Amino acid sequence: METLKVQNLVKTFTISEKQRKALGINEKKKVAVNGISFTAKSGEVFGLIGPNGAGKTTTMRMLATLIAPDSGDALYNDVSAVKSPEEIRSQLAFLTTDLKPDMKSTPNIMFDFFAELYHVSKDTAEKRKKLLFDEFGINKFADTTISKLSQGQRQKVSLVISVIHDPKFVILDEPTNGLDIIASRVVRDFILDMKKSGKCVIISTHLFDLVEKVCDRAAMIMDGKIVADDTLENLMQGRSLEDAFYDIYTSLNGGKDEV
Amino acid sequence: MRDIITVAKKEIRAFFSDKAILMQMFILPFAIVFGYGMLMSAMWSGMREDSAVQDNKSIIAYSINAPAEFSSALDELGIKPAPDNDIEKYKSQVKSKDADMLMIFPDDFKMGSEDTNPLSNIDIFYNSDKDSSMELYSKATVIFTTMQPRIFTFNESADIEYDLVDKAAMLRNLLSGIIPLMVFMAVYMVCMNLAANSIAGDKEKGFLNTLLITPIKRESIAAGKSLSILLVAIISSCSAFAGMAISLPKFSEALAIAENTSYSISDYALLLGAVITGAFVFAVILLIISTIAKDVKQATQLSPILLIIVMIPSLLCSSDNFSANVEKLGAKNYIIPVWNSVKLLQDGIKLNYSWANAGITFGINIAAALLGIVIIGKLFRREKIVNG
Repeated sequence: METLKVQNLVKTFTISEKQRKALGINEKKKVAVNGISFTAKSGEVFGLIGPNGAGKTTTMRMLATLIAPDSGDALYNDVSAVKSPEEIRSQLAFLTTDLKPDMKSTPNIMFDFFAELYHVSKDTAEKRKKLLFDEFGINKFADTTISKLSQGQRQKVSLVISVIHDPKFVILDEPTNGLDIIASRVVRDFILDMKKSGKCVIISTHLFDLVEKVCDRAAMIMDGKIVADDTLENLMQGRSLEDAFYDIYTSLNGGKDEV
Repeated sequence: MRDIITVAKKEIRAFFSDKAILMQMFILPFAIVFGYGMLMSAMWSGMREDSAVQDNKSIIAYSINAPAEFSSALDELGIKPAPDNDIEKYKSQVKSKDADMLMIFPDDFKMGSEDTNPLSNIDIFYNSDKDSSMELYSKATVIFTTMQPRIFTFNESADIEYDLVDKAAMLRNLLSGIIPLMVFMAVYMVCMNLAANSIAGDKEKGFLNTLLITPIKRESIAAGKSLSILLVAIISSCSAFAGMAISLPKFSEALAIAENTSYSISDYALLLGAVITGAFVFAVILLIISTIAKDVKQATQLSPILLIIVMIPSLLCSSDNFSANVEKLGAKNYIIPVWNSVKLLQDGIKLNYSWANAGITFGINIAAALLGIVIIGKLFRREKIVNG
């Protein structure tokens, strides 16, 4: 059983003068994530849902060890992401539409390159390549330069690259942002496949529809804090997830519904 | 090490599979240095007598046997009576630029008239490779020409070479100012583009973060990328060096100087070493800029600052004052990365170098490049820089 325990993550950013002017604020620091904790397990999809600027991406980037928390930790099977980021990265896949493959390369070259970086043996890499290329239908464009591929094909390449090493944990930050309907569907199917194969999947999104379709449990995040964390059923209580979120949001704002 | 090589291999494969980049690496530096060399050779061959480049404010000029009628004119020009009559000694001083002029009046000098034939001739020796000497010569000719006409002549003898310039030295001085600039400009152009795309480009395109989520250390990614750009620096340096090596004899031909301008294999080895190790530092500085920059545009905007380090001293080296001040620094010149390569290239072209200084230059530059790679590795650890 794979378990991710997120413990009291805190992250503060310094706001530059330029940013302060643009945002019309005086504060020099912003607490992006303020004590976030949750637990996710293998074979389930855990969703982190919240409006833009709530702290979802910062949380996901800390989970992916791209940035370090000011305090708190994420324990992957009791291994600290803060103390052993390289070890953690060998067990997880991180996917966001901001992360892209090298556009001048081909899927074949990219796969071989990342297989080496993930220290996958040549034999295993060949087997994984065959399996994943067949599964995602990449063979027909495996030697085409990535810049010439469609958005959906590129997304497939990114997905395949992220799971070369057969990770135990899959973290997806706004995975369908900016994607067309075909590419979005590819991502959704990928998430369900990962769940089916027993991975621990964590996604962050502001799309209620996606959460309802793929998640087993979800946490609602506002202003860097988790305001609700439960199964979808318990969160929704017969309402749509969007209504549930809106009710929680207005109750926290003293009945005001301004966004 | 395996991870570093994996990253470097990927970068190198990308460079070698792109025809435009191959052209840039192998052909462009050669074309710039060689093309510019040919252009300059063609220009110089037509105007070689006009190449005066030095400046020296204090005039040192001597006259021998000057008659009293010339006292005020010579005083005005700052020409003093020579302490002795050792003509060869003063000619040698003019040739070596230690003196500006030697003016020799014949023992039996007489002011002539329209009927006098032949008129007494004054021999004026100067050095066209020295500004102050040329300036003094011009003033002297103006003053003498405006004096009563046809009472004497000057520099009339066809058998005497009055311009005592050391043409080989002049050529080497000219080349030492231009060649380092051309060579490093060519290397800079290649490395700047590739270094900017290697890190800032990957950052901009979202590929750097894709690398950062792999289990390899960030320092390994930095080192792998640095290694690939260092290879580019070596290739472009060799290409620029080839252009330089072919151009050097052409410069000599253009100035019709065959003697004392040939370079031996060890001279060329020194020049190549200066170019390659200088290019290492160049490449690493460009990579640091690329790491700090948000995107390729910012990296390419910041990079030209580096060229100033090469351009200013290269252009100023033809000034006597600047050169004299630089020479006063002695071995200190060779401990400043990039500048030491420019200086060593200048020394090598002038055939006035020491292998000890070359050793210092090579060692310092390689150490600076390694330090630069460590700095890039450290920068890769900084969230603000790498993760935006």
